[in-house]
Order: sequence, then C-alpha cells, then structure tokens
Amino acid sequence: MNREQVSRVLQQHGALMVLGVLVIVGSLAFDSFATPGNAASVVVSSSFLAIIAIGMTFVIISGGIDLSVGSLFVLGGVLAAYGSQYGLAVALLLPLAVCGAVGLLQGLVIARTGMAPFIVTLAGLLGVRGLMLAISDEGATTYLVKDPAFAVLGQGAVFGLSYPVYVTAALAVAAMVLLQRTGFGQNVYAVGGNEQAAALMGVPVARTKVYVYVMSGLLAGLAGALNAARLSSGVTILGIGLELDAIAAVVIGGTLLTGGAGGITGTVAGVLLLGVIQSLINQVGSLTSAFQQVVSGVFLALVVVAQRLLSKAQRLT
Amino acid sequence: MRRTDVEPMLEARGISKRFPGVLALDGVSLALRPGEVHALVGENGAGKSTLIKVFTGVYRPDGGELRYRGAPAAFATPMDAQRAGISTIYQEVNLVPMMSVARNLLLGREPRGRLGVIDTAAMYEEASRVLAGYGVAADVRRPLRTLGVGAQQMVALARAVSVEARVVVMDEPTSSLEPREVETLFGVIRRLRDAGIAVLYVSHRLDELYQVCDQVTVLRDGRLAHTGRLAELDRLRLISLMLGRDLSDVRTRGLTRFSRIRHRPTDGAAAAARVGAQGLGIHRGDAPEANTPTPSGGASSRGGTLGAVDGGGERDDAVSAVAPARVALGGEPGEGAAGVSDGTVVAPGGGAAAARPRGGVSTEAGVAVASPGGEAGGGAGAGEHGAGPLGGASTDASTTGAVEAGGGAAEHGAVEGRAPVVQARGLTRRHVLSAVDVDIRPGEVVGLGGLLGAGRTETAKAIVGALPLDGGQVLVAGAPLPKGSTAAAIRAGVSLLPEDRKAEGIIPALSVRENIALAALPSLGRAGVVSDTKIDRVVEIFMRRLRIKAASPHQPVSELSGGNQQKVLLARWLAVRPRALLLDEPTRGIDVGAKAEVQALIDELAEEGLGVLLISSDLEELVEGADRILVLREGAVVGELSGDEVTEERIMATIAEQSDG
Repeated sequence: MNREQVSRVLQQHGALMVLGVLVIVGSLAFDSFATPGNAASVVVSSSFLAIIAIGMTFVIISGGIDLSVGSLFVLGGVLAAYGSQYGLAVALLLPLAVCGAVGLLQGLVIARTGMAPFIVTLAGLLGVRGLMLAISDEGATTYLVKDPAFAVLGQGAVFGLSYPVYVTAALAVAAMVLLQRTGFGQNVYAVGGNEQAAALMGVPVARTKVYVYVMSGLLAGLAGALNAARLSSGVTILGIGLELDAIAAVVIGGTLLTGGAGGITGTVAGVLLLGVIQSLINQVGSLTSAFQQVVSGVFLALVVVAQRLLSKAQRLT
Repeated sequence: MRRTDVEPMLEARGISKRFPGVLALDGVSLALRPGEVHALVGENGAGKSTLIKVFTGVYRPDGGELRYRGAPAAFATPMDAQRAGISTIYQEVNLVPMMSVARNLLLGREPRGRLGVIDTAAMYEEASRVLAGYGVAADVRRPLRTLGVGAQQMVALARAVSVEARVVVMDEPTSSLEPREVETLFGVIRRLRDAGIAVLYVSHRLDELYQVCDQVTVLRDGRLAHTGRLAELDRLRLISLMLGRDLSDVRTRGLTRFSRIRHRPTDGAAAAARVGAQGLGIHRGDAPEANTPTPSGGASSRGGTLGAVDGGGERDDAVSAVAPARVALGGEPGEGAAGVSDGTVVAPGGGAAAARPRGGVSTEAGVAVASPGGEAGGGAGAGEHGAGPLGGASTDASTTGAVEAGGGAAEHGAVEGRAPVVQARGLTRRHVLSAVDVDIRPGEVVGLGGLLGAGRTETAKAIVGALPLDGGQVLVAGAPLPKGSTAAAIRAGVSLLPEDRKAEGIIPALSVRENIALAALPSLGRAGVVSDTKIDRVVEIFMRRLRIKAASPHQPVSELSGGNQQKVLLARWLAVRPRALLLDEPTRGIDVGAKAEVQALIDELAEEGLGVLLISSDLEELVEGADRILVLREGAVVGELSGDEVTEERIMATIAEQSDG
C-alpha cells in the first residue's frame, strides 16, 4: 500500500480503528467495561443517535447540513406518545408524517431558492421547537404512551438487545445499499462532490436535495418515536443539541463536512465511538459527564485536523 | 469524407449575443458538418467561449438562428443540448473528483443487477474496458482526483462520447495533457470523425490544429474573421487573422516605421542629441512622414502633450487632455510641434536622455530630467505637483523610481547597462511554463508576446509568487524571493496588475480611496494604526496625477468607468512604491481615450526608472510600448526581440515558427 492508499483507508476507517483501540484499552483498564451489560447499554443508548446520524450522513454527503433533527427528534417523541392513544399505527405514522413534511418543506426551500441549508434548517430547529412547546403546553404536559404494543417496540428485547438496536442495524444496512448501490446514492455523492458538474452530467440536483432532507426528517421522527416507546412517554427536554452530536458523529466517521465523500459504516463507528467515550468516562467515576463533552469536542477537533491532512496527502500523490 | 455540400449537423446562422455594454457575438455563422473536425480560434474576447455556450445551451442567442440536424433548435439548458447529442468537454474537467473513476464514467447508466441494485463488479469491468479504448489504464475504483489531469480529461471525453453524441465540442482539451496523451486524444478525435461525428475543436496550439482539423473558423472581436479549409491557410496568415493585423499592411508599415528610427544609443549625450534631432526631423519633415506615426514620434508627442497639460495645471477633463495627444499621434502640425518642442528643449539638457534606448527618449528626458529642463512644460508640471512617482520630481525622495531615473540614467547611460531589478530564472510548472527566464531592468518595458495560453499571464503570476512552481526562482535586486508569497514580492517591490480586474483587482463595494490605499496600508501608519491624513494625501496625489475621474475619493469604485478603475488599480500599486510593475493586459476593455492615457502612464513610469513587464494581446500596443519583447509559445520563451526586431511582423513570425513537436 502506498501513502495515498493508507491515507484513504485512514480517512474511511479511522473511526473504526480508534473505536477498536478504545474498546481494547477500556477492557484492559476497567473490569466492568467489557461486560455484556455495559456493551448492551452503550449500543442501546447509541441507537437513537445512530438513526439520526444515518439521515445526517446523506445530508452532509450531499453538501448540506440539517440542524433541525434535534427538534424533530423531540417533536417525534411527543407526537408518538400523543398518538399512542389512538393505537400503534397512529403512534408510528403521526411523527413520521409530520417530521417528513418538515423535511420536505426544508428540502424544497433549499433546493428551489438556493438558500443556505444552515439557515433554512436553523429556522426549522427554532420553528419545530416552538411547535413542540405549543403541543406540550410549554413542556408542562408530558404525554404518556398509552398503547402497550407501541411501548414494546422500544422496550422489548431479543438476545439482551432491545428492538431499536435491530431497527438501527436494519436501517444502516438499507442506507448502505441505498448510498452505494443505487442511482439515488450516486446522485447524492455527485451533488455533494461538484454540484455544477453533477447538473451537467444529468443528475436531478434539486430532487436529490429534497429527498435527502425528507429522509433526514423521517429518520429523526422515527428515532424520536422509538425513544418515546422506550421511555413510555414523550419527554420534551431530551434532544436539545442532539443535531450537533449527530453532526459530530458523522464527521468523526470520516464524512467530509464539505460533502461528496463519506459513508454509513464510518457514521455508525462515529456514533459508537461517542458512546464508548461516554462509557469510559463513567467508568473513571471521578469525572462528571460534562467531561465527556470536553473529550468528544477535543476528539472532533483532532478528526477534522486529521482529515484535512489526509486529504492533502491524497492530493499530493 | 470532407464535402462542403454535406448538410451541416450543427449550424449557427448570423448568431448575435449581447451582454450589458458588449456585443459578444455579432452575426457569426459557423457550420459543423458530420465527419469533420472544425477548429475555432481567436484571441481572448473574440467570442469563442460565447459561441460555444450558445451551441451547448448555456446561452440563448439574441439574434440569428441555431440549426441542429437541419431544423431550428433552441436548447434551454446544457442538459437539453446534451440529450440532443451535443457533448462538451470543458477545459476544466467537469466531473466529480471524489467519486471513483468508474462511477464518474457511468453515472446515470450504471449496470444493474438483481433488484435494480448497481452491479459494482460489472460497473468496474465496463469502465475498465471503455477506458482502455482511450489508452487509460487506471484502477477505476480509485477516486477520480487521484488520476492525472490528462487521464481525468480522457474520462470526461469517454463519458461525453459514450452518450450517443453527434457533435462533440472540445474547449482546449489538450491544455493539461502530456504529449503522449495528446496523441491518444488525436486518435480518438480521428475515430470520432470517421464515425461521422462533428467535432468543434478549440485550441491555441497551432501545431495541434494543423494536425487534426479540417476546417477553421477565426473569430475576432465577436465577428467572423475567416472560415474555410485549414490546409489552405498558412500559419502566419492564420495568426495575422487571429490578431487582426493585415499581413501586407504590417509589412509595409513595419518597414517605414522602424527601419530608420529605432536606434540603440550606445553612449549618453551624443546619442540623445542624435535621437532628439531625429525626433524633431520627423515632425519637421514632409507630410507623408508625419502621417505615419513612429514609435519615437508617438511617444514623444504623447509624453510631451501630457507634460504640457500638467504644466498648464488644472485641466480636469482627462479625456480632453488626451485628445491632443491622439491628434499629435496622427501628425497634426500644431500639437505635434508642441510635443516635439518639449523634447528638444530638454534633450540636450542632460545625458540622462538615454534613460531608455528607444526613439522616444526626447520626451522621456523631458520628464525624467525635470529639474534641468525646468522651463519645459512637462518639468514644470511635475514640479508643481511636488510628489508621486509620476511627477518624477526629486522632491519626494521616497519615490525610488524618480531617484533612479534621475541618477541612475546619467551614470549608466543606457538601460542595458543596469542591473536587472527582476531576474526570473527557469520558471517551470508542469504543462504551464518551462524554464522561462525574464530580466526586467529599471526603466525598461519588457513585453511578453504570444498567443493566448502561451504562458504570458502565468509568467507574470509566477514572478510575484501567485502561481505555484515546480522549479525556478525570482531575484529582486539580486536577492531571491521566497517562493509562493505575493506579500514578499510586494514588499520587495514587485507588483502585478492582474488581467481580470473585476475578479482579481478592484473591490467594487469599497471607495476609490480605500481601493487605492489597500496595498499601501502597512506603510501608511504606525504600529498598525493607519493615519487617515496620510491616506488622504496619498489618495489625493494619485487621483490627480493619474487623472482619475471620480466624483469624490469616497465614490464606490464600481461606479467608475473601466479606464478609471484600471487607473485606481495602477494607483494602488504605485502607492506602495514598486521597483517593478507587471501589467497584464492593462488596457483591455477600456475606452480609447483612457487607453491612450494608461499607455502614456506606462511610458512615464518607465522613464522614471520603474521596470515594467507589459502583457498585451494588442500587438500594436506591445510594439509601441515595449523596448524588448519575449515571445512565448506553449509556456517557453521561443524568441527575444529587441531594437529593430521589435515589429508586429517579427512577433507573428516568431509565434508561427514550427515547434519541434
């Protein structure tokens, strides 16, 4: 392998490698780290972020950003809990419909007017949060999940792992196929890599962008609904700042914030990495969870710098 | 295969395209026939790219008709044109660099396997097979950007051709190819031709055109200059068509103009006197002579008149100030005499008259030796304004140019005796420049000649460190410049006035004052705090000296005319007191009056000891303005012309010489 290939592998799989190293180091350092229970707890708590991050991966590869997913996650949870009084179908479809519609609206505005995704989805973040507060009486009302069948979705488990983990895994595989093996996936890469060239090559640029934001909205709503099922209620205070965690996970996973390159495996590794860092810090005990954010932040900064250097190394060869 | 009676595949009939203020295409007709490679040539601004964009659906024509396959056609978007079978290969590769080679090649028509999912194995296989046909043996799984530019270009070509193209437009496809890749490309082009595809081929490399093209269309200033069989057109004729110089005209004019006048004085005062006398003689002489402007006569009357205007003081209408100069160029008796009288009064006054080796010295002396010739109009004018590089007055000691002109010229006698202020050695960048050497001496105007794409702009950029180099170095006053730092070049006294003043020069939203002061800010204050009074003084001096027409220094520079914008840029760089100024097409796109003024300014600046590198596609401007001309072709210096050799004909002949390839 030459230098260019090494740097490419590092860029694509760096998060996975660091994840492996951290797991080994953690297992050696803490007896209680490498237990099935702890592993399950990391995986389960990571799954909701992972679902959101999968959608974010598409958005970022297409050259955009979606800041509204944290708010949509919360709204999805509230709507699911509220809808559960009408049965399982409503509990699932209501959040998906509303969050998908918000994504569609954002996508249309971004694709048709050429406005910056950052601004459009920032407006989405604020607007959706307002909507959520209105539904929940400024957060005073907490809807409880009424339908036991829906609660099972979040709480039932097979082989020690709850259902959301399997849902996440299935989504990740589907997303991988979608991204790598379909025309839509190719279009997402092309739009993010060079929008002008993509247009000249016949890629439906606007449509691709709209789809990407719809997907991101749908997945955020789904994650919110599953989380409500797990907690048996639509909690309104969770999910603040979740969009930033999702972006961090995607970038740590090797997807370029400038678009055009990246993948689902990296994103999943990035999500797990954030979870493992949190878990390790909990193991240390003397450190608070606030410290976890510091470590994640430092790590993110290192990744961004490393990516810069790696892509430079690739260009020089 | 090449019959002109064949129905054209794609045809422009009297196409016009107007942009605000410019008629980019004026009734241009061009017919692309199947199985024919058609060369489209012309200098910058000739309308080539506009025509291509009309063909490929980027622009809609304002007038005329576009016909495709025998019927009127209108393409709303590039996609429409592409779907109809018109493929374009752009100079810049228009693919997605981070996607794999195979995915770029087959995007949108990837082979599908079960469930409609892309069959990657089949995709890679097909991509490898297609590319092998174009001489590209690369791992198609790798990101496109890891390939060489040539291979990328081949991928773009393969993609363009494989979508059932009937017309292929190639916009300078070889600009970044290796010779071997060029051969492959030509093979592909011949294959396309034999398959009955119409090819439009845009290039500035004459060798290539003659190798591969059947027909040629020459555009100039948005008009059709020539169209016909390429084989019936020799190189010199082609170049003269491109550059807009009629060959016979150049020959005769070139002879009358330079055979007698152009002298290279060897020693100071005697030569100066001789040249001065000659300058006078011309204007005293018979009418035909006076009607044929000579570089010396032209320069002297121009400089002289400008000086006189300055001496007269407060003429605020810059255009009217120039008008007499233009008249004098035409040999109008009264003004012409005035111009010369300036020169003759001063020329005997100082040995420094030989500041420049050219005929134009008579007036140059008038300005450069401002103090001795104090009574002369030019000298008085300079003195009155008291400062600024243009005045050449020694009152402002910080103006290096003036000091050098006054002292240095007298000491050395002739420009070529001086140590070069800029020495560029072996400037090399793959595909762009190969071992270019340039010397610029104080007080000398060095012209860079050559066709578009020959490396003129790149040479200038390389000198100031704005172009990354593979090799070579630049010495300023003997000291090497650090590589790739324009800031260091500016500090050392070398500034570039870029070709595209909108994109690389003026900052439209800022005022005239801010635009002028921008580069000089570090020198206009103390400890990083800028002194407003100092700026005001500098801005005021330059606005007056360069006769910048603006309502006030606070007017946004975007509201000024092109000529005045250019003067603002000149002022910006003069305000940092450069030792050498590189001017890339300084008069392009500005009106005639402003053009003459800028040209006169260049002359004056050189007289004051500034080293000037002049890039111009206007051969007349180059010949009149430059003391010495380096001719570039395909990134290499292929000839140096000085003295009597500085003629339009010689420049064109040097460009036309067969290159070894």
